[in-house]
Amino acid sequence: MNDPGKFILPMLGITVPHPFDDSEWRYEIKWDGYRCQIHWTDRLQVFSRSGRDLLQPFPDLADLAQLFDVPVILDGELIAWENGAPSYYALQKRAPLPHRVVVFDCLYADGEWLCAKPLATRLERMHRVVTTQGKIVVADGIIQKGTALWQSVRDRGLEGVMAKHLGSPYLPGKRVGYWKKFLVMTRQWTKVFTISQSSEGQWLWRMSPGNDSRAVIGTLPAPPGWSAEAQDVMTEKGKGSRPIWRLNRPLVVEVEYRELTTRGKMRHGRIRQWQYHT
Amino acid sequence: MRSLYKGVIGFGLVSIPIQVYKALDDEKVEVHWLHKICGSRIQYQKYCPVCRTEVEAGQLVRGAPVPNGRYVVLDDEPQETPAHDHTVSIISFHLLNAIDPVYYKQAYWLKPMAGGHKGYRLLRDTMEQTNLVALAELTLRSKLSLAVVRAYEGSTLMMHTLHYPESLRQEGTRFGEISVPVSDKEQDMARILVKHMQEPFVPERYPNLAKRQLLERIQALMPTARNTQNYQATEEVISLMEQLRESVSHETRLG
Repeated sequence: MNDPGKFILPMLGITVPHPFDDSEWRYEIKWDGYRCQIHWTDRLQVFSRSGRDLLQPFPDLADLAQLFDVPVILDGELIAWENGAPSYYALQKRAPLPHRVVVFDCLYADGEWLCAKPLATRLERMHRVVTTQGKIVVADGIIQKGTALWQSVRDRGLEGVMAKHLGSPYLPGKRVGYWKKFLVMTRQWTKVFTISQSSEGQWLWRMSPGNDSRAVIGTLPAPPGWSAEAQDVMTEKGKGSRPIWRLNRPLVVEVEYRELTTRGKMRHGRIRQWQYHT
Repeated sequence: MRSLYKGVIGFGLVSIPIQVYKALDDEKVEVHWLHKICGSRIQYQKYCPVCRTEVEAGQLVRGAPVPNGRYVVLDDEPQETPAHDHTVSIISFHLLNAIDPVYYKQAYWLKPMAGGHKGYRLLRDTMEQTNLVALAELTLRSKLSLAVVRAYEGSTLMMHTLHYPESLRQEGTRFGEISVPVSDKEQDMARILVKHMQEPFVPERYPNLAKRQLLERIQALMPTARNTQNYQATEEVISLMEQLRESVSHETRLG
Protein backbone atom coordinates (compact mmCIF):
# COMPACT_ATOMS: atom_id res chain seq x y z
CA MET A 1 0.00 0.00 0.00
CA ASN A 2 2.63 2.47 -1.03
CA ASP A 3 1.25 4.08 -4.14
CA PRO A 4 -1.72 6.36 -3.36
CA GLY A 5 -2.57 6.34 -7.07
CA LYS A 6 -3.61 2.68 -6.91
CA PHE A 7 -7.14 1.44 -6.29
CA ILE A 8 -7.82 -0.06 -2.86
CA LEU A 9 -10.49 -2.72 -2.42
CA PRO A 10 -13.26 -1.09 -0.38
CA MET A 11 -14.10 -2.36 3.08
CA LEU A 12 -17.54 -3.96 3.25
CA GLY A 13 -20.14 -4.49 5.93
CA ILE A 14 -22.10 -7.54 7.02
CA THR A 15 -25.89 -7.43 6.93
CA VAL A 16 -27.56 -7.78 10.29
CA PRO A 17 -31.30 -8.29 10.72
CA HIS A 18 -31.91 -5.81 13.52
CA PRO A 19 -30.67 -2.34 14.44
CA PHE A 20 -28.82 -1.88 17.72
CA ASP A 21 -27.61 0.91 19.98
CA ASP A 22 -23.99 1.13 21.11
CA SER A 23 -21.98 4.17 22.22
CA GLU A 24 -18.84 2.74 20.56
CA TRP A 25 -20.56 2.84 17.19
CA ARG A 26 -21.29 5.53 14.63
CA TYR A 27 -24.42 5.26 12.49
CA GLU A 28 -24.78 6.79 9.03
CA ILE A 29 -27.45 6.83 6.36
CA LYS A 30 -26.77 4.10 3.83
CA TRP A 31 -27.19 5.88 0.49
CA ASP A 32 -28.42 3.93 -2.51
CA GLY A 33 -25.85 4.60 -5.20
CA TYR A 34 -22.45 3.40 -6.45
CA ARG A 35 -19.56 2.89 -4.07
CA CYS A 36 -16.99 5.43 -5.05
CA GLN A 37 -13.30 5.86 -4.18
CA ILE A 38 -11.78 9.25 -4.93
CA HIS A 39 -8.01 9.54 -5.36
CA TRP A 40 -6.59 12.99 -5.74
CA THR A 41 -2.84 12.61 -5.97
CA ASP A 42 -0.96 13.95 -8.96
CA ARG A 43 -4.28 13.59 -10.83
CA LEU A 44 -7.92 12.73 -10.14
CA GLN A 45 -9.10 9.13 -10.26
CA VAL A 46 -12.55 7.90 -9.28
CA PHE A 47 -13.01 4.16 -8.85
CA SER A 48 -16.11 2.00 -8.51
CA ARG A 49 -16.47 -0.76 -5.92
CA SER A 50 -14.67 -3.17 -8.27
CA GLY A 51 -12.05 -0.63 -9.35
CA ARG A 52 -13.64 0.49 -12.62
CA ASP A 53 -13.08 4.08 -13.71
CA LEU A 54 -16.21 6.07 -12.83
CA LEU A 55 -14.98 9.15 -14.71
CA GLN A 56 -15.80 7.27 -17.90
CA PRO A 57 -19.56 6.92 -17.32
CA PHE A 58 -19.76 10.10 -15.21
CA PRO A 59 -17.37 12.63 -16.77
CA ASP A 60 -18.96 15.43 -14.76
CA LEU A 61 -17.12 14.06 -11.71
CA ALA A 62 -13.92 15.50 -13.19
CA ASP A 63 -14.57 18.76 -11.38
CA LEU A 64 -13.95 16.98 -8.05
CA ALA A 65 -10.31 17.75 -8.80
CA GLN A 66 -10.84 21.39 -7.89
CA LEU A 67 -11.88 20.63 -4.31
CA PHE A 68 -8.68 19.39 -2.69
CA ASP A 69 -5.54 21.08 -1.42
CA VAL A 70 -3.56 18.02 -0.33
CA PRO A 71 -3.34 14.50 -1.80
CA VAL A 72 -6.21 12.36 -0.47
CA ILE A 73 -8.01 9.06 -0.87
CA LEU A 74 -11.66 9.23 0.14
CA ASP A 75 -14.28 6.51 0.36
CA GLY A 76 -17.89 7.39 -0.37
CA GLU A 77 -21.07 6.74 -2.28
CA LEU A 78 -21.95 8.30 -5.63
CA ILE A 79 -25.63 9.20 -5.82
CA ALA A 80 -27.92 10.72 -8.44
CA TRP A 81 -30.34 13.16 -6.84
CA GLU A 82 -33.93 13.24 -8.06
CA ASN A 83 -36.94 14.84 -6.41
CA GLY A 84 -35.40 14.99 -2.97
CA ALA A 85 -33.97 11.47 -2.84
CA PRO A 86 -31.18 9.37 -4.33
CA SER A 87 -32.18 7.38 -7.40
CA TYR A 88 -30.22 4.21 -8.13
CA TYR A 89 -32.31 3.74 -11.25
CA ALA A 90 -31.17 7.15 -12.55
CA LEU A 91 -27.52 6.19 -12.02
CA GLN A 92 -28.05 2.96 -13.93
CA LYS A 93 -29.67 4.82 -16.79
CA ARG A 94 -27.02 7.58 -16.74
CA ALA A 95 -29.91 10.00 -16.49
CA PRO A 96 -28.96 13.66 -16.65
CA LEU A 97 -29.35 14.46 -12.94
CA PRO A 98 -27.18 16.16 -10.34
CA HIS A 99 -24.49 13.82 -8.97
CA ARG A 100 -23.05 13.98 -5.47
CA VAL A 101 -20.44 11.92 -3.67
CA VAL A 102 -21.24 11.46 0.00
CA VAL A 103 -17.79 10.85 1.51
CA PHE A 104 -17.58 8.87 4.74
CA ASP A 105 -14.00 7.73 5.14
CA CYS A 106 -10.46 8.91 4.51
CA LEU A 107 -7.74 6.34 3.75
CA TYR A 108 -4.87 8.65 2.91
CA ALA A 109 -4.19 12.31 3.50
CA ASP A 110 -1.19 14.50 2.77
CA GLY A 111 1.38 11.72 2.46
CA GLU A 112 0.09 9.61 5.34
CA TRP A 113 -1.75 6.29 5.20
CA LEU A 114 -4.67 6.14 7.63
CA CYS A 115 -6.10 2.65 7.11
CA ALA A 116 -4.54 1.30 10.33
CA LYS A 117 -5.87 4.22 12.37
CA PRO A 118 -9.22 3.93 14.17
CA LEU A 119 -12.31 5.22 12.37
CA ALA A 120 -12.62 8.17 14.79
CA THR A 121 -9.14 9.38 13.77
CA ARG A 122 -9.80 8.86 10.07
CA LEU A 123 -13.00 10.92 10.30
CA GLU A 124 -11.15 13.70 12.08
CA ARG A 125 -8.58 13.76 9.28
CA MET A 126 -11.35 13.62 6.67
CA HIS A 127 -12.96 16.77 8.08
CA ARG A 128 -9.60 18.52 7.91
CA VAL A 129 -8.97 17.79 4.22
CA VAL A 130 -12.45 18.03 2.72
CA THR A 131 -15.60 20.06 3.25
CA THR A 132 -19.02 19.95 1.70
CA GLN A 133 -18.68 21.83 -1.60
CA GLY A 134 -19.15 21.22 -5.29
CA LYS A 135 -20.22 17.61 -5.80
CA ILE A 136 -18.84 16.52 -2.40
CA VAL A 137 -21.06 16.12 0.63
CA VAL A 138 -19.34 15.08 3.86
CA ALA A 139 -21.43 12.41 5.57
CA ASP A 140 -23.12 13.08 8.88
CA GLY A 141 -23.08 10.42 11.56
CA ILE A 142 -24.83 9.77 14.83
CA ILE A 143 -23.27 8.03 17.82
CA GLN A 144 -25.15 5.33 19.73
CA LYS A 145 -28.71 5.91 18.51
CA GLY A 146 -28.83 3.26 15.79
CA THR A 147 -32.38 2.12 16.40
CA ALA A 148 -33.80 5.63 16.32
CA LEU A 149 -31.89 6.47 13.11
CA TRP A 150 -33.10 3.26 11.52
CA GLN A 151 -36.70 4.20 12.32
CA SER A 152 -36.27 7.68 10.82
CA VAL A 153 -34.54 6.26 7.76
CA ARG A 154 -37.40 3.81 7.34
CA ASP A 155 -40.00 6.57 7.65
CA ARG A 156 -38.31 8.41 4.79
CA GLY A 157 -38.02 5.36 2.57
CA LEU A 158 -34.20 5.44 2.48
CA GLU A 159 -32.15 2.30 1.96
CA GLY A 160 -30.89 1.61 5.46
CA VAL A 161 -28.24 2.39 8.06
CA MET A 162 -24.51 1.66 8.14
CA ALA A 163 -23.10 1.08 11.62
CA LYS A 164 -19.32 1.40 12.07
CA HIS A 165 -17.19 0.69 15.11
CA LEU A 166 -15.38 3.91 16.03
CA GLY A 167 -12.23 2.03 17.04
CA SER A 168 -11.98 -0.10 13.92
CA PRO A 169 -9.27 0.07 11.26
CA TYR A 170 -10.04 0.19 7.53
CA LEU A 171 -9.61 -3.35 6.25
CA PRO A 172 -9.46 -3.24 2.43
CA GLY A 173 -11.65 -5.80 0.70
CA LYS A 174 -12.78 -7.33 3.99
CA ARG A 175 -16.39 -7.95 4.97
CA VAL A 176 -16.12 -8.09 8.75
CA GLY A 177 -18.22 -7.22 11.77
CA TYR A 178 -16.68 -3.77 12.27
CA TRP A 179 -19.16 -2.50 9.71
CA LYS A 180 -22.77 -3.64 9.92
CA LYS A 181 -25.68 -2.63 7.78
CA PHE A 182 -29.34 -2.95 8.62
CA LEU A 183 -31.54 -2.43 5.63
CA VAL A 184 -35.01 -0.99 5.55
CA MET A 185 -35.87 -2.60 2.27
CA THR A 186 -35.67 -6.17 1.03
CA ARG A 187 -34.44 -6.50 -2.53
CA GLN A 188 -35.49 -9.15 -4.98
CA TRP A 189 -35.14 -9.83 -8.68
CA THR A 190 -38.49 -10.49 -10.33
CA LYS A 191 -39.84 -10.93 -13.83
CA VAL A 192 -42.60 -9.05 -15.53
CA PHE A 193 -44.56 -11.22 -17.96
CA THR A 194 -47.83 -9.31 -17.87
CA ILE A 195 -48.94 -5.72 -17.57
CA SER A 196 -52.18 -3.88 -16.96
CA GLN A 197 -53.25 -0.28 -17.01
CA SER A 198 -54.64 1.98 -14.28
CA SER A 199 -57.84 3.90 -14.82
CA GLU A 200 -55.63 6.99 -15.47
CA GLY A 201 -53.79 5.16 -18.25
CA GLN A 202 -50.59 4.51 -16.26
CA TRP A 203 -48.94 1.22 -17.25
CA LEU A 204 -48.62 -1.23 -14.37
CA TRP A 205 -46.00 -3.96 -14.15
CA ARG A 206 -46.98 -7.23 -12.51
CA MET A 207 -43.98 -8.72 -10.69
CA SER A 208 -43.50 -12.48 -10.57
CA PRO A 209 -40.80 -13.97 -8.34
CA GLY A 210 -40.36 -17.05 -10.54
CA ASN A 211 -41.34 -18.16 -14.00
CA ASP A 212 -45.04 -18.49 -13.26
CA SER A 213 -46.71 -15.36 -14.62
CA ARG A 214 -49.79 -16.01 -12.45
CA ALA A 215 -47.83 -15.80 -9.20
CA VAL A 216 -47.54 -12.06 -8.65
CA ILE A 217 -46.03 -10.46 -5.53
CA GLY A 218 -47.14 -6.99 -6.50
CA THR A 219 -48.07 -4.49 -9.18
CA LEU A 220 -46.04 -1.28 -9.58
CA PRO A 221 -46.35 1.67 -11.96
CA ALA A 222 -43.93 1.39 -14.88
CA PRO A 223 -41.04 3.89 -14.75
CA PRO A 224 -41.58 7.25 -16.48
CA GLY A 225 -40.94 7.02 -20.17
CA TRP A 226 -41.71 3.31 -20.45
CA SER A 227 -44.68 2.65 -22.64
CA ALA A 228 -46.28 -0.53 -23.84
CA GLU A 229 -47.04 0.90 -27.25
CA ALA A 230 -43.48 0.24 -28.24
CA GLN A 231 -43.82 -3.43 -27.37
CA ASP A 232 -45.65 -6.22 -29.03
CA VAL A 233 -48.27 -7.10 -26.51
CA MET A 234 -50.96 -9.75 -26.59
CA THR A 235 -54.16 -9.39 -24.63
CA GLU A 236 -54.41 -12.20 -22.16
CA LYS A 237 -57.74 -12.00 -20.42
CA GLY A 238 -59.95 -9.54 -18.70
CA LYS A 239 -59.87 -9.85 -14.95
CA GLY A 240 -63.11 -8.06 -14.23
CA SER A 241 -63.20 -5.06 -16.55
CA ARG A 242 -59.44 -4.56 -16.66
CA PRO A 243 -57.52 -6.42 -19.34
CA ILE A 244 -54.09 -7.91 -18.77
CA TRP A 245 -51.55 -7.91 -21.58
CA ARG A 246 -48.76 -10.41 -22.00
CA LEU A 247 -45.39 -8.97 -23.05
CA ASN A 248 -43.68 -10.81 -25.87
CA ARG A 249 -40.38 -9.82 -24.31
CA PRO A 250 -40.49 -10.16 -20.50
CA LEU A 251 -38.71 -7.66 -18.27
CA VAL A 252 -36.29 -8.43 -15.48
CA VAL A 253 -36.86 -6.06 -12.60
CA GLU A 254 -35.17 -5.61 -9.25
CA VAL A 255 -37.72 -4.47 -6.71
CA GLU A 256 -37.30 -3.46 -3.10
CA TYR A 257 -39.98 -3.56 -0.46
CA ARG A 258 -40.43 -3.13 3.26
CA GLU A 259 -41.98 -6.55 3.82
CA LEU A 260 -44.32 -9.14 2.36
CA THR A 261 -47.88 -9.27 3.63
CA THR A 262 -49.30 -12.52 4.96
CA ARG A 263 -50.78 -13.05 1.50
CA GLY A 264 -47.34 -12.68 -0.03
CA LYS A 265 -47.69 -9.20 -1.52
CA MET A 266 -45.08 -6.43 -1.36
CA ARG A 267 -45.61 -3.54 1.04
CA HIS A 268 -44.05 -0.19 0.01
CA GLY A 269 -42.64 -1.78 -3.10
CA ARG A 270 -40.64 0.15 -5.69
CA ILE A 271 -38.53 -0.53 -8.75
CA ARG A 272 -34.77 -0.31 -8.23
CA GLN A 273 -33.58 -1.25 -11.70
CA TRP A 274 -34.79 -3.15 -14.76
CA GLN A 275 -33.83 -4.47 -18.16
CA TYR A 276 -35.31 -6.58 -20.93
CA HIS A 277 -34.97 -10.33 -20.48
CA THR A 278 -32.28 -11.67 -22.77
CA MET B 1 -51.95 38.27 -23.45
CA ARG B 2 -49.77 40.80 -21.66
CA SER B 3 -49.27 44.29 -22.99
CA LEU B 4 -45.67 45.20 -23.84
CA TYR B 5 -46.02 48.84 -22.86
CA LYS B 6 -48.40 51.77 -22.72
CA GLY B 7 -48.04 54.73 -25.01
CA VAL B 8 -49.82 57.34 -27.09
CA ILE B 9 -50.48 57.85 -30.76
CA GLY B 10 -49.73 61.48 -31.57
CA PHE B 11 -52.01 62.54 -34.43
CA GLY B 12 -51.97 66.29 -35.05
CA LEU B 13 -53.06 67.93 -31.83
CA VAL B 14 -54.77 64.73 -30.60
CA SER B 15 -53.17 62.13 -28.33
CA ILE B 16 -54.70 58.67 -28.30
CA PRO B 17 -53.63 56.58 -25.28
CA ILE B 18 -52.99 52.97 -26.26
CA GLN B 19 -51.51 49.71 -25.07
CA VAL B 20 -49.16 47.76 -27.32
CA TYR B 21 -49.37 43.97 -27.65
CA LYS B 22 -47.31 41.53 -29.67
CA ALA B 23 -49.41 40.40 -32.63
CA LEU B 24 -47.63 37.18 -33.50
CA ASP B 25 -46.64 34.13 -31.50
CA ASP B 26 -43.03 33.10 -31.69
CA GLU B 27 -42.72 30.48 -34.38
CA LYS B 28 -39.89 28.81 -32.57
CA VAL B 29 -40.63 26.57 -29.60
CA GLU B 30 -38.59 27.64 -26.61
CA VAL B 31 -35.65 25.29 -26.06
CA HIS B 32 -32.55 25.72 -23.94
CA TRP B 33 -29.12 24.14 -23.99
CA LEU B 34 -28.58 21.69 -21.14
CA HIS B 35 -25.46 19.91 -19.99
CA LYS B 36 -26.07 16.41 -21.35
CA ILE B 37 -24.43 14.72 -18.37
CA CYS B 38 -26.18 16.39 -15.46
CA GLY B 39 -29.09 18.11 -17.20
CA SER B 40 -28.36 21.58 -15.83
CA ARG B 41 -29.13 24.59 -17.93
CA ILE B 42 -25.83 25.99 -19.15
CA GLN B 43 -24.72 29.54 -18.54
CA TYR B 44 -22.82 31.81 -20.84
CA GLN B 45 -19.83 33.62 -19.48
CA LYS B 46 -18.20 36.71 -20.86
CA TYR B 47 -14.65 35.49 -21.03
CA CYS B 48 -11.44 37.30 -21.85
CA PRO B 49 -9.10 34.83 -23.60
CA VAL B 50 -6.04 37.04 -22.97
CA CYS B 51 -6.50 37.71 -19.26
CA ARG B 52 -8.06 34.24 -18.89
CA THR B 53 -10.80 35.48 -16.68
CA GLU B 54 -14.51 35.99 -16.62
CA VAL B 55 -15.33 39.65 -17.24
CA GLU B 56 -17.89 41.38 -15.05
CA ALA B 57 -20.46 43.80 -16.41
CA GLY B 58 -18.67 46.85 -14.98
CA GLN B 59 -15.52 46.00 -16.92
CA LEU B 60 -17.20 45.87 -20.33
CA VAL B 61 -17.17 48.65 -22.92
CA ARG B 62 -18.57 48.66 -26.41
CA GLY B 63 -16.15 48.87 -29.31
CA ALA B 64 -16.79 49.27 -33.00
CA PRO B 65 -14.49 47.25 -35.28
CA VAL B 66 -12.57 49.36 -37.81
CA PRO B 67 -10.19 48.08 -40.51
CA ASN B 68 -7.01 46.14 -39.71
CA GLY B 69 -8.50 44.45 -36.65
CA ARG B 70 -8.63 47.66 -34.64
CA TYR B 71 -11.46 48.98 -32.50
CA VAL B 72 -12.71 52.39 -31.50
CA VAL B 73 -14.20 52.38 -28.03
CA LEU B 74 -17.61 53.94 -27.67
CA ASP B 75 -18.03 55.43 -24.24
CA ASP B 76 -21.66 54.92 -23.40
CA GLU B 77 -23.40 58.22 -23.02
CA PRO B 78 -25.69 58.52 -20.02
CA GLN B 79 -29.19 57.48 -21.01
CA GLU B 80 -31.73 60.25 -20.77
CA THR B 81 -35.39 59.53 -21.20
CA PRO B 82 -36.82 61.76 -23.91
CA ALA B 83 -39.95 63.77 -23.20
CA HIS B 84 -41.96 61.86 -25.77
CA ASP B 85 -41.07 58.30 -24.80
CA HIS B 86 -43.48 55.55 -25.79
CA THR B 87 -44.98 57.78 -28.46
CA VAL B 88 -46.14 56.84 -31.93
CA SER B 89 -46.02 60.18 -33.80
CA ILE B 90 -47.80 60.10 -37.13
CA ILE B 91 -45.76 61.84 -39.86
CA SER B 92 -47.74 61.25 -43.05
CA PHE B 93 -50.25 59.00 -44.82
CA HIS B 94 -49.55 56.68 -47.77
CA LEU B 95 -51.19 54.01 -49.88
CA LEU B 96 -50.54 50.63 -48.28
CA ASN B 97 -48.88 49.21 -51.38
CA ALA B 98 -46.61 52.23 -51.66
CA ILE B 99 -44.57 50.82 -48.77
CA ASP B 100 -42.93 47.64 -49.94
CA PRO B 101 -43.30 44.58 -47.60
CA VAL B 102 -39.49 44.29 -47.47
CA TYR B 103 -39.44 47.04 -44.84
CA TYR B 104 -41.84 45.35 -42.43
CA LYS B 105 -40.39 44.02 -39.18
CA GLN B 106 -42.60 43.17 -36.18
CA ALA B 107 -46.39 43.42 -35.89
CA TYR B 108 -48.26 44.74 -32.84
CA TRP B 109 -51.88 45.15 -31.83
CA LEU B 110 -52.84 48.59 -30.56
CA LYS B 111 -55.58 48.71 -27.93
CA PRO B 112 -57.31 51.98 -27.00
CA MET B 113 -57.24 53.00 -23.35
CA ALA B 114 -59.59 55.24 -21.40
CA GLY B 115 -59.95 58.60 -23.14
CA GLY B 116 -58.70 57.23 -26.44
CA HIS B 117 -61.66 55.33 -27.83
CA LYS B 118 -63.06 58.11 -29.97
CA GLY B 119 -59.75 59.19 -31.51
CA TYR B 120 -58.85 55.54 -32.09
CA ARG B 121 -62.12 54.90 -33.89
CA LEU B 122 -61.90 58.05 -36.02
CA LEU B 123 -58.32 57.34 -37.10
CA ARG B 124 -59.08 53.72 -37.91
CA ASP B 125 -62.25 54.36 -39.88
CA THR B 126 -60.74 57.26 -41.83
CA MET B 127 -57.75 55.21 -42.89
CA GLU B 128 -60.03 52.38 -43.97
CA GLN B 129 -62.29 54.65 -46.00
CA THR B 130 -59.36 56.42 -47.70
CA ASN B 131 -57.27 53.27 -48.17
CA LEU B 132 -54.35 55.01 -46.51
CA VAL B 133 -51.91 53.93 -43.84
CA ALA B 134 -50.01 56.15 -41.42
CA LEU B 135 -46.25 56.38 -41.40
CA ALA B 136 -45.07 57.14 -37.88
CA GLU B 137 -41.98 57.57 -35.77
CA LEU B 138 -41.89 55.36 -32.71
CA THR B 139 -39.94 56.36 -29.63
CA LEU B 140 -39.32 53.49 -27.25
CA ARG B 141 -36.86 53.69 -24.38
CA SER B 142 -35.04 56.53 -26.13
CA LYS B 143 -34.67 54.50 -29.33
CA LEU B 144 -36.25 55.69 -32.54
CA SER B 145 -37.84 53.49 -35.13
CA LEU B 146 -40.08 53.87 -38.17
CA ALA B 147 -43.53 52.34 -37.99
CA VAL B 148 -46.73 51.94 -39.97
CA VAL B 149 -50.12 52.20 -38.27
CA ARG B 150 -53.00 50.77 -40.25
CA ALA B 151 -56.60 49.64 -39.99
CA TYR B 152 -56.87 45.89 -39.56
CA GLU B 153 -60.06 43.96 -40.43
CA GLY B 154 -62.99 44.74 -38.20
CA SER B 155 -62.27 47.49 -35.74
CA THR B 156 -58.62 47.38 -34.80
CA LEU B 157 -55.41 49.29 -35.39
CA MET B 158 -52.23 47.42 -36.06
CA MET B 159 -48.69 48.72 -35.91
CA HIS B 160 -45.67 47.41 -37.79
CA THR B 161 -42.14 48.47 -37.01
CA LEU B 162 -40.16 49.14 -40.17
CA HIS B 163 -36.58 48.75 -41.28
CA TYR B 164 -35.04 52.03 -42.38
CA PRO B 165 -35.25 52.21 -46.18
CA GLU B 166 -31.52 52.84 -46.52
CA SER B 167 -30.88 49.36 -45.08
CA LEU B 168 -32.15 47.81 -48.31
CA ARG B 169 -29.24 46.42 -50.29
CA GLN B 170 -29.66 48.09 -53.66
CA GLU B 171 -27.57 45.74 -55.76
CA GLY B 172 -30.32 43.13 -55.52
CA THR B 173 -32.76 45.32 -57.42
CA ARG B 174 -30.77 44.67 -60.63
CA PHE B 175 -30.55 40.89 -60.34
CA GLY B 176 -33.35 40.40 -62.90
CA GLU B 177 -31.99 42.78 -65.53
CA ILE B 178 -30.75 40.17 -67.94
CA SER B 179 -32.26 40.36 -71.40
CA VAL B 180 -33.83 37.12 -72.55
CA PRO B 181 -36.31 36.87 -75.44
CA VAL B 182 -39.84 35.95 -74.29
CA SER B 183 -42.47 35.28 -76.94
CA ASP B 184 -46.10 36.37 -76.62
CA LYS B 185 -47.07 32.72 -76.57
CA GLU B 186 -44.84 31.96 -73.61
CA GLN B 187 -46.10 35.04 -71.85
CA ASP B 188 -49.71 33.95 -72.43
CA MET B 189 -49.06 30.44 -71.18
CA ALA B 190 -47.44 31.72 -68.03
CA ARG B 191 -50.37 34.04 -67.47
CA ILE B 192 -52.86 31.22 -67.93
CA LEU B 193 -50.97 29.02 -65.48
CA VAL B 194 -50.75 31.74 -62.87
CA LYS B 195 -54.41 32.65 -63.26
CA HIS B 196 -55.30 28.99 -62.99
CA MET B 197 -53.44 28.72 -59.70
CA GLN B 198 -54.97 31.87 -58.29
CA GLU B 199 -57.19 31.30 -55.27
CA PRO B 200 -58.38 33.12 -52.18
CA PHE B 201 -55.84 33.17 -49.34
CA VAL B 202 -57.12 30.89 -46.57
CA PRO B 203 -54.75 31.15 -43.59
CA GLU B 204 -55.98 27.84 -42.07
CA ARG B 205 -54.53 25.95 -45.02
CA TYR B 206 -50.99 26.69 -43.94
CA PRO B 207 -50.38 25.21 -40.49
CA ASN B 208 -46.89 25.30 -38.95
CA LEU B 209 -46.42 21.53 -39.04
CA ALA B 210 -42.87 21.50 -37.72
CA LYS B 211 -43.87 23.48 -34.63
CA ARG B 212 -46.89 21.28 -34.01
CA GLN B 213 -44.80 18.14 -34.31
CA LEU B 214 -42.21 19.46 -31.88
CA LEU B 215 -44.91 20.46 -29.39
CA GLU B 216 -46.43 16.99 -29.65
CA ARG B 217 -43.03 15.44 -29.04
CA ILE B 218 -42.56 17.60 -25.95
CA GLN B 219 -46.03 16.63 -24.72
CA ALA B 220 -45.29 12.94 -25.16
CA LEU B 221 -42.03 13.36 -23.20
CA MET B 222 -43.76 15.09 -20.28
CA PRO B 223 -43.67 11.97 -18.06
CA THR B 224 -39.86 12.03 -18.29
CA ALA B 225 -39.56 15.71 -17.34
CA ARG B 226 -36.92 16.23 -14.68
CA ASN B 227 -36.11 19.03 -12.38
CA THR B 228 -32.36 19.30 -12.69
CA GLN B 229 -31.63 22.22 -10.45
CA ASN B 230 -28.17 20.99 -9.75
CA TYR B 231 -27.21 23.57 -7.17
CA GLN B 232 -30.07 22.52 -4.87
CA ALA B 233 -28.96 18.91 -4.56
CA THR B 234 -26.31 19.52 -1.89
CA GLU B 235 -28.72 21.59 0.18
CA GLU B 236 -31.31 18.83 -0.03
CA VAL B 237 -28.85 16.09 0.96
CA ILE B 238 -27.69 18.12 3.96
CA SER B 239 -31.21 19.03 4.94
CA LEU B 240 -32.20 15.36 4.83
CA MET B 241 -29.26 14.45 7.09
CA GLU B 242 -30.18 17.25 9.47
CA GLN B 243 -33.82 16.19 9.60
CA LEU B 244 -32.76 12.67 10.51
CA ARG B 245 -30.38 13.91 13.21
CA GLU B 246 -33.18 16.08 14.58
CA SER B 247 -35.72 13.28 14.64
CA VAL B 248 -33.24 10.92 16.33
CA SER B 249 -32.50 13.38 19.13
CA HIS B 250 -36.23 13.73 19.81
CA GLU B 251 -37.00 10.06 19.91
CA THR B 252 -36.97 7.98 23.06
CA ARG B 253 -34.56 5.10 23.03
CA LEU B 254 -37.07 2.34 22.63
CA GLY B 255 -39.77 4.30 20.84
